[in-house]
Amino acid sequence: MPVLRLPKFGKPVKYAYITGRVRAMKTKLIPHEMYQRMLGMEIPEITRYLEETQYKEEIDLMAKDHSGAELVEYATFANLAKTYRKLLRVSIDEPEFLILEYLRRWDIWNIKTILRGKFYGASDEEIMKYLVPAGELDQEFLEGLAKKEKIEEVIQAFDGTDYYEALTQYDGQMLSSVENALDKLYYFRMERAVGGTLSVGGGLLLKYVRKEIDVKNLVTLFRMNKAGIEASVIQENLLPGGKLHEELSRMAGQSYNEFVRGLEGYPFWGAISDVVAEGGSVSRIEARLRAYLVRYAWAISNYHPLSILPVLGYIVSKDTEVSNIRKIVRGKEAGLSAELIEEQVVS
Amino acid sequence: MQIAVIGRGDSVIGFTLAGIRKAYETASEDELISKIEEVMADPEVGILVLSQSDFNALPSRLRGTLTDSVKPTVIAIGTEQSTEMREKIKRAIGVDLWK
Amino acid sequence: MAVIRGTKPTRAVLIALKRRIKVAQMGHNLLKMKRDGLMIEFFEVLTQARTIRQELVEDFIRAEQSLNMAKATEGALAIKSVAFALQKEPAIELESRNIMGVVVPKITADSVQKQMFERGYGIIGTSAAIDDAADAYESLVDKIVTAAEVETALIKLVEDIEATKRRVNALEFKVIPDIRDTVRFIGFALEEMERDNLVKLKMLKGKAQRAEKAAEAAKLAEAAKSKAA
Repeated sequence: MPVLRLPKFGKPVKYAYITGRVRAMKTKLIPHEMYQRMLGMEIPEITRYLEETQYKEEIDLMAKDHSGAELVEYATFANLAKTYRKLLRVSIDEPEFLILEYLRRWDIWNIKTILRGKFYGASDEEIMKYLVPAGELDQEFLEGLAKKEKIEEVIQAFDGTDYYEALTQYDGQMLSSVENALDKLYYFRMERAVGGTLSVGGGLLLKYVRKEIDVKNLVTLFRMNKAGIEASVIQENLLPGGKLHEELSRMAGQSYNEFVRGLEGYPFWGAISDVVAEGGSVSRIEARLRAYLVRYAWAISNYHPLSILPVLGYIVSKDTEVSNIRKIVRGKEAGLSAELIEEQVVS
Repeated sequence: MQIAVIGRGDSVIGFTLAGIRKAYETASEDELISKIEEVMADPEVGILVLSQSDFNALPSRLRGTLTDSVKPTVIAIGTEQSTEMREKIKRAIGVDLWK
Repeated sequence: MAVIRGTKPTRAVLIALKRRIKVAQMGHNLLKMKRDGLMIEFFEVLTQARTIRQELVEDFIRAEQSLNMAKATEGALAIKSVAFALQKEPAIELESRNIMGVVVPKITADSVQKQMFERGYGIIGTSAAIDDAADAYESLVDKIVTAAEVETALIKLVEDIEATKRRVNALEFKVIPDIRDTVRFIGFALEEMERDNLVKLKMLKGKAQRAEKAAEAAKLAEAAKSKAA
C-alpha cells in the first residue's frame, strides 16, 4: 500500500465501462432463491451444483487436495480472489482507485495471516493455505513474505508504505495491537479516500463506509461491554471515524443493559431489537448487523447507475455469496439445523 | 507442563483457540498411533487429550497403557461411551458402578 | 490340610506360629479397614468423577457447537489464521496428593481462561463467533484438567482397592488358614510325641520294676542262703 495521495481525476469520470462489466458479472451471481434449495441439499450435491456455476474452475482445480466442505470453502475463496482481481484489472482512474482502496481489506487479512503464521512458527506452505490474494498484494509477493524467517523481516518488507508505521507497533509479545493498528489504518484510509470522491455517488459511498465503521465499532462494544471490560480498553479497540464515533465511544464500559437501552432509536435498532436480550448471543447480533450493512449496500447500489455504487453493490454481493455458500456447507458439515443456517444466510 | 491434543482432520482446531500449541492433526490410524507414542514419550506433556471415538478404535493393549498412564494422564472426550474405566471398576469392585 | 512345608514340629515353632497368627489377624483387620476406607474414598471420588464426566461431555458439545458456528460464519481459514495468533499457552502443574497411602495426582492449570483482548488476536478484525469458540474451548480445557485429576485418582484408588482386596483375601483364605493348619499339625505331632514318650516311659518303668523285683528276689535268695549257712 503506497502512502495515500488522493488522485485528481479528469472530469467526467468514466463509469460506463466498469458498470457495464459489473452488470455482466452480476448475472453470474447465484440467484437468491438457490440458497433455499441448497439448504435442502447434501454437500456433494451442492458441490455438483457449484460446478455448473462460475466456481467450476476452482472446484476442479482444488478437488485433488481437498474434499467436502473444505473443498467448497477453499474454492469459493479462490474464486473470490480471482473475481476481485479481475475487477481491478478492468477498471481505471477513479473506479480503480476506489475499488483498490476497498479491496485492501484482503491485503490486511493476508498480512495478518502471515504475521500470525510467523508468530506461531508455521511453515510457509501452511501459511499459504490460508491466504486469499483478493487485494493489491498478489500471490507471488505474499509467498515471498511467507518464506521470510522472522516477523521483523516481514515488517521490513513494508518499509516506505503506509503499513510500516502500523507494523512497527509489534512489541514482540502479542499481535493484537498490530492487528488493530492495521484495521484502523484500513478504515482511516478508506474514509479519506472515499471522502475525496467528487463524482456522483461519492457521498453515498462515504455514508456506507462510515456506516461500516459504526457497525464494526458497535459489534466491538457488544462483545466487550458484555464481557465487562473497562472503558479505556474498549476505546483502544474502536476504529476512528464513522458517523457515530463520539456517541459510540461514550458507550464503552457501560453495563450491558444500559448500553442496549441507549441504542434504541438508532437506524440499526430495528435490525437487532429482537435479539439483544441479555442472555442472547453477540454473534447473532453481529450477523444481523452485518446483514443490515449488506442490505444498505444493496439499497444504494441502484441510486446512480453510472457511478461507483453498482460496483460496491457487486463487491458486497460477491462477498455475501461466498459467505452464504460457506455458511451452508460448513453448517451442514456440522449438522446444524436448517433454521440455524438459514438465519445466517443473507439474501 | 503442557496439554497436547491429537485428532483426526481439523478436530483439534478448537483447542488451538484455547492456546494449546501441541495440537496435532492426523490423517490415518497409523499416523494417529505413532503420534500418540511420540507424545507419550514427550516429558513436557502432562495431559494428552484424544477423541473418544479415536480412542475406542485403538488396539486394546494401547488402550490399556493409555488408561493406566499417569504422566501424561490421557483423557478421551466425546459423546461416545468409554468402556475402559467401567471395566476397571467392575473388575476391582465386582459391581458395575460407572454409569 | 495345607501345612507350611519344612516346619519343624517343635514347641518353639508352635509358639512362634501362634504369634504369627495373631499378627496376620491384626494385619487382616487393618487391611480390611484400609479396604473399607478406600471404598468410602472411592465412592466419593466416583461421584465426583461421574459428575465431572457429565459436565465434560456437555462442555465438549457446547465447544464443538460454537466452533462449528465460527467455522460457518467466519470460515475455517479465518479460524486457523486466528489460532496462530494465540499468545499464551495454558500451563499445567502436576503435584501429588496422598489418600490413605495411595499417591494420586493434583493437577493445577494456569492461564486457561483469558479476557478476549489478552488472547493475542486483534478485536477489530475478528468476530464474536471466534470469542465464543475460544471461550468455550477455554472452559473445556479447564474441565479436562479437572477430569484428568479426578479420573486418575479414581484409577489409582481402584488399583489400590484391587491390590488391598487381594491381600485381604490372601490373608483370610491362604495365609491364616495355612498357619492354623500348621499349628494344628504341630499340635498333633507334639501330642503324638508325648504319647510316644509316655509309652517309652511306661516301658522303661516296667523294665525298671522288673529289674527291681529281680534284684529283690536275688536279695531275698541271698539272705535265705546266708541264713541257711
